[in-house]
Amino acid sequence: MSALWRDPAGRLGVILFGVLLALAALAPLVLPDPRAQPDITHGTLLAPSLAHLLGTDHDSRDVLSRLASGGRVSLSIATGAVALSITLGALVGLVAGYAGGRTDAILMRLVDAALAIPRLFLLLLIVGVMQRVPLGVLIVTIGATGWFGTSRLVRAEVLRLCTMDFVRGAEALGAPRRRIVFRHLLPNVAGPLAAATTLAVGDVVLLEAGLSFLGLGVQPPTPSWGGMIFDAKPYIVTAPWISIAPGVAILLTVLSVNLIGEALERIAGREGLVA
Amino acid sequence: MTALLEVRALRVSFPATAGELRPVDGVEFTVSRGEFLALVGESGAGKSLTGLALLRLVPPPGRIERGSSLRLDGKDLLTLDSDELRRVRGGRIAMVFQDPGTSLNPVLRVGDQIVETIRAHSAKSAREARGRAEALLTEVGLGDAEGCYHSYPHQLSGGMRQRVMIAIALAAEPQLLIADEPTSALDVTVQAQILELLDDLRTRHGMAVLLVTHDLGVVAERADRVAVMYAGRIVEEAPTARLFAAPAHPYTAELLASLPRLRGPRAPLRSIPGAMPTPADWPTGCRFRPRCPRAFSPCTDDPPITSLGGGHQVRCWLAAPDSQAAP
Amino acid sequence: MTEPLLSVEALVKHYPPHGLLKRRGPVRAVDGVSFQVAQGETLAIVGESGSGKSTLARVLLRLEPATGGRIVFDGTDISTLDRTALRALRRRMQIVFQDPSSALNPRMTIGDAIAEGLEIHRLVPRSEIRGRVDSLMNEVGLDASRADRLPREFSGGQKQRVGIARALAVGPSFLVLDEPVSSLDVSVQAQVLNLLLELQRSRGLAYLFIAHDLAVVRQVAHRIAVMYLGQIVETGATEALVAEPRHPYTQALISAAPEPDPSVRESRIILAGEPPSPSAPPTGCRFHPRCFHPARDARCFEEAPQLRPVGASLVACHHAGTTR
Repeated sequence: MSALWRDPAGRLGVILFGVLLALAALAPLVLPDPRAQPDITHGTLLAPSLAHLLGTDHDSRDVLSRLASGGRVSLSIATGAVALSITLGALVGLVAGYAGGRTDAILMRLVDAALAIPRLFLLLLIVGVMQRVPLGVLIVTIGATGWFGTSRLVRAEVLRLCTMDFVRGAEALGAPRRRIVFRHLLPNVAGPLAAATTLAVGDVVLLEAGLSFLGLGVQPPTPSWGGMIFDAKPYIVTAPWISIAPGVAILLTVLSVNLIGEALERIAGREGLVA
Repeated sequence: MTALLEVRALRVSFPATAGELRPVDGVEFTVSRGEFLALVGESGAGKSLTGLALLRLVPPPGRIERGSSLRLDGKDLLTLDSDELRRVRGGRIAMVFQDPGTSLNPVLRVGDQIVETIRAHSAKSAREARGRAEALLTEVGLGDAEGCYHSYPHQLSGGMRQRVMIAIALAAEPQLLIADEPTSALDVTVQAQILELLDDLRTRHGMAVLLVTHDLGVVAERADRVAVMYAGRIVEEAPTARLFAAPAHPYTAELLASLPRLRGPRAPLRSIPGAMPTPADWPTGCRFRPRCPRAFSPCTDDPPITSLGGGHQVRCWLAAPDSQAAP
Repeated sequence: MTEPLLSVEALVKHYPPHGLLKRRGPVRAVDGVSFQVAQGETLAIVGESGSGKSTLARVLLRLEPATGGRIVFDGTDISTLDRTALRALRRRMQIVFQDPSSALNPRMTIGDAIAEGLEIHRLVPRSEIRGRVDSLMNEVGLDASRADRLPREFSGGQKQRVGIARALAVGPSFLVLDEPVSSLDVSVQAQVLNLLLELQRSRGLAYLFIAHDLAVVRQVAHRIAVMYLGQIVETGATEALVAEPRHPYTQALISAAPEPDPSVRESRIILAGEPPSPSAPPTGCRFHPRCFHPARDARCFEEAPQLRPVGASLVACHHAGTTR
């Protein structure tokens, strides 16, 4: 972690992401309720001012508040889905890599098949069929369709680690398989896995934004960044701030996690297995 | 024997978080024409970097420091422009590396890799170059020269690949061959073959050889002179027989006493306590002092180089003429 | 006569051929190897690459299953043990690997690495683990206060000591050492060799010392077995074998070993040809294509020689001891 702070790009990413997290977490406490509609007649589509830092939208809701609430939704979807997909991917990768043989072959063919299906279409299918999608279902769906690449990555790492003598040594000491997987393999996979995790967060934020923008993800009135852009479509010329704000928020989120992810990759590469 | 390569005050430094590190710190030696000089040291002593520096191949961010002097036949190698340097590399000085597995391009046929060197240093036509390449393959002991020519590196064994590397090195008829641990990755029976080949080629072409190695056994057999490196410096240099019979530096003596021997009576091995320090941890004064069984008060200062006659030099207070040490 | 601690009989390990076309035969890494190791004794297995010595180490420890033959350890046939019995065996037979850098988990402190065997087998109560680790570290010459450091903070020689301590933690009586000093610097090799000798003395350990360097092996081994292409070609007491090698391959090995003494000038045996591949071994005597023995004949090409006594050693050669 300290190494991350020392890396200049990593530090920027951490700061940026920290600010966004703080905004999403704390803002609803200090900003006006996004559902409040102060003044329907005079308050719609107000440009940014001191009263409303990012202006108001077509329903005269404060954009900044909506941004923050939307951020909570978008980020919680992202973290929830990524947690699920990373866990699944790591488990499958560990098992396939260490067990080898038939188990490995079966699992990897499954992954190959799943990777052949474009994720977006799969999600569109599921979400489109269900009409109204509860948040939890959305998280699980995104998470369940996103672990394939991670499993390949983890498996490759595990295969490499298994050529190292320390795994053989643990076996020679009589270590049960569970111990080898969790005590020896997992800690050494953590490096590349952490990098993959942060990058995945960015992916999911974009994915969710895309789905919501198409009207299929998070449903109104629950705010989300993609949904805000969707709502702002008709006003893009007259009140551009309504779409720019969430757009920039998405950009900064993805940028920050990418910076963190790349920094982690650099660090893992340096310190991973030092001769 | 006339001097072919003269190295003076060679320093190679690398930037580090806490200032600069200097893994090669004031190395000096001379290689005469047709001579076999061995540069001996353990890993981390700086010997491989020294070899690379001679061809200005130090990997960045490392660099050869100003004040270093490298002269080939009197010509300053450090001020050559890129064209002249290219001609020297391969044409006057050639290098063979340790791991033949990674030294050859895996996607090119072996013959093409030799021809590449030939044509880079001469105006031969493609056909002439190919003929010369096959002749070289035969000369390095690869029986089926034509078959080898068309092979890919992975189709050849380790010993064969190393022979190919030597063929490439010889292609432009260099005056000096630098061999960096050329046999460490090979089996001992194959090692014997390769060393025999190097010796043979040396006699036939009048080529000088600088062998960088940690294996004192190999050195004893083949080298004319030996230079022992420790922590970035040469601590002793002498004709081979002299070095083994009467080592003047305690490190050399301890090293020889710690080697297991196959011939002669079996004796318990002496060991040197501790380990050679890395450039970041070099002590002040003599760098061997913390491990030296004969260290005494002057050793906290850098020892001078003393000449013991007969081409034998040592960097040690014990040999310094006016020190109070018992010899 | 006491029973040998380890007795290996006709051990075989084949790997099935690879690849779609299966053009090559199975890789006969270990092809009929028999030997014994007595309690407290060191038997060295010497061979070059392709000899099968590393495979032998893994099969002995049941890290890989044998294809054939028997391994009897302390009176028990261990080739066919079940899981629980195998676990118990792990405490009595251990291994030290060649490369100290890959033999330690880079994310595990060396204290934890050494204690691992103790934890797996629950040999000591939790509160006593640290004490046991400390005493093991002292025994191998390491500073016990550094038990909380990661492997990358140690030198090669120190890491190898950690590997030894880790193997000793479970209290084995037999240690397989797979090229334990080959990756170490020259001045450190002697330290570790001397440590191994001392540990053998103080703990009564038996060693199977696998190496390619005969000079190293001479320092520590009571007996030597020379392997070529998956088979033992000569075996005998160390000094006798080194002084009077009978098998041509042994003679070549000894001759090829460079001696750090310029006054030793002897005629070198330079073997012709390349070390052959274990998937396509020559017929008859496997060494015959490279053999320089004056009496080499058609029999060498047709018939594989068996180990038979010649002088004080066992030699697998039709002509050993006949012409000199």
